[in-house]
Amino acid sequence: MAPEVWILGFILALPVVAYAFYRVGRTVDERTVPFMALLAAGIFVAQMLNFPVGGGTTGHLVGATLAVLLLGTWGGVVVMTVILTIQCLVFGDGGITALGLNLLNMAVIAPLVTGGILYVFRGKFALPATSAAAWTSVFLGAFAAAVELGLSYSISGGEYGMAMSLAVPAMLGWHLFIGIGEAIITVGIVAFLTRVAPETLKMRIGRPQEALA
Amino acid sequence: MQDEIDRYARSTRLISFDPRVKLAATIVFIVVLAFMREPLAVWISLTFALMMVEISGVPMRHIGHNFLLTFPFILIASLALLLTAGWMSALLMGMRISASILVLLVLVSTTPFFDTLRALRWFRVPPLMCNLMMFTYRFIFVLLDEMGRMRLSRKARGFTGGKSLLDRSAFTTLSNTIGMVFVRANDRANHIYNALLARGYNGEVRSATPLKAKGRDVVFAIAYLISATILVAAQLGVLHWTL
Repeated sequence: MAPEVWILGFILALPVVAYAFYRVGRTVDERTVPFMALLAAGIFVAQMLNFPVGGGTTGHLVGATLAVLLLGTWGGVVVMTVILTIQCLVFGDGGITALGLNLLNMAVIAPLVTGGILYVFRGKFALPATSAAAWTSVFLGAFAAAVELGLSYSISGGEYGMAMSLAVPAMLGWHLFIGIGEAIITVGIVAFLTRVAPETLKMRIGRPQEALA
Repeated sequence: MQDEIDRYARSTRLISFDPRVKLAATIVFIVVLAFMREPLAVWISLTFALMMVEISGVPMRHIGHNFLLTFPFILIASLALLLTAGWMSALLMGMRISASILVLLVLVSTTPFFDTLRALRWFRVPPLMCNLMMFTYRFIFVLLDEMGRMRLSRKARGFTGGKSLLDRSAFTTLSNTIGMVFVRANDRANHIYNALLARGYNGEVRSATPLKAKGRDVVFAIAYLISATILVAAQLGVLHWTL
């Protein structure tokens, strides 16, 4: 990634993340912290589970929609931030400079898109709304990633990133399918939780519509 | 699994260095490195990274294993450049990412995660973030155990991973697995929260040993800063003349 682009990633992502922490920090009590952490750990672990896409390839969950469903929009931003930061600091995934862009794609764009879609439906058509939110959040996150790669390439004159004409179709074509997997799994998890442990679905900090207001 | 990751964090030469110094020096180095385009600068950074790996005393195999995990990403990034911008850009890209990952791995494998968090706390990262990261980190290993057991039972019942997005039963199994992870996580959270309360937890995490920077931390910081300066010199062409 070209320095201009990853710095831009931090500039765009950090204010939203900071606001989310402020919002959530104001409303949570110390009791909620272990619960949010467990959800974060749960999503972290769920990301390691591969689902089949076809032709011998697999994809894995991002989990932003799941986080928003369980914790509300800002809770989702907070949880995704924690997950990505741990991946960066403990497992060396992605690296420190890419953290800003990863945050932007998966901890800002994906949860806000999900929150927005769920807000539009406001509890009606729960399952279609969830799948739409899951698919769109993955797809737009991937689109953002492709644009960042393309920008890097053109700003640096080909020293970083990937040409826009290569990055956008490759990322979008692939995530068209990854998004479907994300949607199926997310709906499956929600259906499972509704049936087996409905109390886990009530842990969100404020309802999604309040969280966005 | 947790032992696996922190295994060398307590036995390596860099362990007793101040985590704040290690974290700040590493980040400064990586940020400077990200701006480097001159082949000479990238070469020097990779040499410095390998030198730090050697000095840290972390076994090569441990670093190598973790490095290989990130290798596919390095490969994709480099290959994309190979197709569009030529082999020199691709090679430099690969070396630059490798160097920054190695330096990060030195930090990560010589610092217990709890110390990293205390360093972050010192750098004024909000307490909510630090607490969440600490708990999440602990829970990940508990849930990984849980997942491992479920993977084994899935396998014992003949689950092979499924073929495609149309494989209904595979997706049912996978979503139920993740759902179950959350259900068990929820149960455990209750136990853990009660255990914490019983030990006097009130939302603040404290440590008995204060952080203290010593002379050798200054040496550490200077080593990183000097190499970063050398990189900048190489990038600006200053070093080119003297070599």
